[in-house]
Amino acid sequence: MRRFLILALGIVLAGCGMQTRYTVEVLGHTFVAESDKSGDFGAGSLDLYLPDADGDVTTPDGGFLAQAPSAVVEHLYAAQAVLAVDLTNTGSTDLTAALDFYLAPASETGNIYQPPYRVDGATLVVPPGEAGRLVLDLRLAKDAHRTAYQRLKDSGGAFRIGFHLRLSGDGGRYQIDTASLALTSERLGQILGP
Amino acid sequence: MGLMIRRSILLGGLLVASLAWAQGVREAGMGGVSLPGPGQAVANPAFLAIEDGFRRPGWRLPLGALGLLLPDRSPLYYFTDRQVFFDRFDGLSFYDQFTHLDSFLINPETSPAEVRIEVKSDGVSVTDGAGHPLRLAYQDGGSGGHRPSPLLYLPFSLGQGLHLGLGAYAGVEKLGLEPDAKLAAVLAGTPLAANERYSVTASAHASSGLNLDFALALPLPAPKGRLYAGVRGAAFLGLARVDGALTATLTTDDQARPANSETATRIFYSYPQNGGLGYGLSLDVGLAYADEDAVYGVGLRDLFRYSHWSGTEVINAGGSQTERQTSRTELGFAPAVYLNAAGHAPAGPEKLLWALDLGFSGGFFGHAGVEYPLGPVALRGGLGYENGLRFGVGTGLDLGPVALDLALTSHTGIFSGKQVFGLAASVGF
Repeated sequence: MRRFLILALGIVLAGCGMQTRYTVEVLGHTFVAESDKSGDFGAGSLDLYLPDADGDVTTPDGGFLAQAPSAVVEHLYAAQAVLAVDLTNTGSTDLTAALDFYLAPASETGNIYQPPYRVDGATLVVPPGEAGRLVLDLRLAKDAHRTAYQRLKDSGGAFRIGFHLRLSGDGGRYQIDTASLALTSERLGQILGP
Repeated sequence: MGLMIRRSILLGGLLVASLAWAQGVREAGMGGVSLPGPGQAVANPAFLAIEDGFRRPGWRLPLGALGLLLPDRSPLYYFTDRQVFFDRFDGLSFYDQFTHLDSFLINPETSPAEVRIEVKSDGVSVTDGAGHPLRLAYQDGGSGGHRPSPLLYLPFSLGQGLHLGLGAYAGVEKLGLEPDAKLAAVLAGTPLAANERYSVTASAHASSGLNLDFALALPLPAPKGRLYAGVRGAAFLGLARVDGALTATLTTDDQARPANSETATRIFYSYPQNGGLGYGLSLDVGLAYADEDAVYGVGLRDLFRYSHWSGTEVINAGGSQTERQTSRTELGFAPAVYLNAAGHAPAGPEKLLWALDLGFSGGFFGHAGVEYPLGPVALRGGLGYENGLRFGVGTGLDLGPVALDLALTSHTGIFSGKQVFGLAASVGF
């Protein structure tokens, strides 16, 4: 009876139905300093690690420590990371861009940009004089991203994320437009259910 | 007590409550306005002394209680079929139907399919997933913390103006969701600050018990018309109570980024099986005036109020749970004010029945309604305000030995703000 009382009251207090899912979305690009969001680069290559945690956006670090409600990650239904970078090639050769998303345990404070923590990535080649948009729309799937998916579920809500943008060419401009992560829980009835 | 017996008692109680609901289908069809008379004696004890010129006999059909049998609104499925409960139950639909037992809700409030919390450097937004903002600050409980009005109330005249009232009550005294000042500012567009804590608290208070009232209602000298005064001592014996609060807190780091979130719950509950008990006393007063055309009344409920509850408090915070036996005592002056009037006015070949009420009980409320007879048919309509707009339309049919009353009502959902429609019906012989 007491369990029922607490359960029923909790459901009413939270204004919930058994069909309700909870999504927590962090718009990570809003936490990136404006000075790090865009820039020009010359001949050669440029590596950017964002969000920056060590004061130097060009060196690998511990990324962004995300804190999500533990109930959402323990009963994870879907996770989606969306990264978008606008590129302009001002050089005379192709501009090659590679974008990789990393997800590491909260304990990895030193460098999350290691191969075991890489989840997925996307590449784009921009011809000279043209502009392009590099997009990584990653829907974390239980099977396709088994390790990362399980790492998220086992995180207890605290985990580290970041993305690595590598640009190669002989001149261009980048503008980070979107970097977001959304976590959606199972419906409430499945979380509380028998 | 066996589970089946408990369920039967609960269901039976709801059916009786629905049948005997204080407000009639006639009033529901007039926008929820209350008609002066003994039926409104709970709000104004002076009405015990006047003749009931507005009474329309009839038994309300228990449509509201029937609504509580549907899987989306019935917590009873937790005991009978848990799969159905965990698949279909909706806390908001249950709350909406339970607090509107006087009608079957056609489209009760439903919880959003998705609650989407979007965190960005310049604030936090909470939407229903389709981009519509969810209300994160509301208060419900027209009684404003006052004990719920009786579901069933039986007045007995003892002569010499003395009256005894027996009743039973069950209801929600208050339901609210309240962000703290800092979170309210963020929801209004202020950026998150560094190393700050933001919290939102949901709280609910509900109780049930038995009423025992003694009232004295007498005529007073008046130069014109008839004047009445009433005073009542209202005692209650509380059988069950639950007060709950759920607080969610978000903490930011030194760069104003969300760094931690936690929830804490505090629940006080009381019922006989855990040794819980409640009792208390309140004082109500009222005046009523009647002339040939109209009746007017002013009532003050809970002019003085004392209550005491013993029970168990359970606190969940920081990953640990503590439980202790405790008690809660309330003593104070927080009256609910209630004014109403009704009368007949010539309108064509017939007389129009008009009614108005206005009051304050935690928040302002008011209603206005009319009824016009056309042979055996009475047409009704009205508007009101109770935590939002409401309206009602209805009809009364005199079909020889049978009188039938029907009403279509509406109220504003506390969470979504949408109009919720309900059906009420009564039959008289």
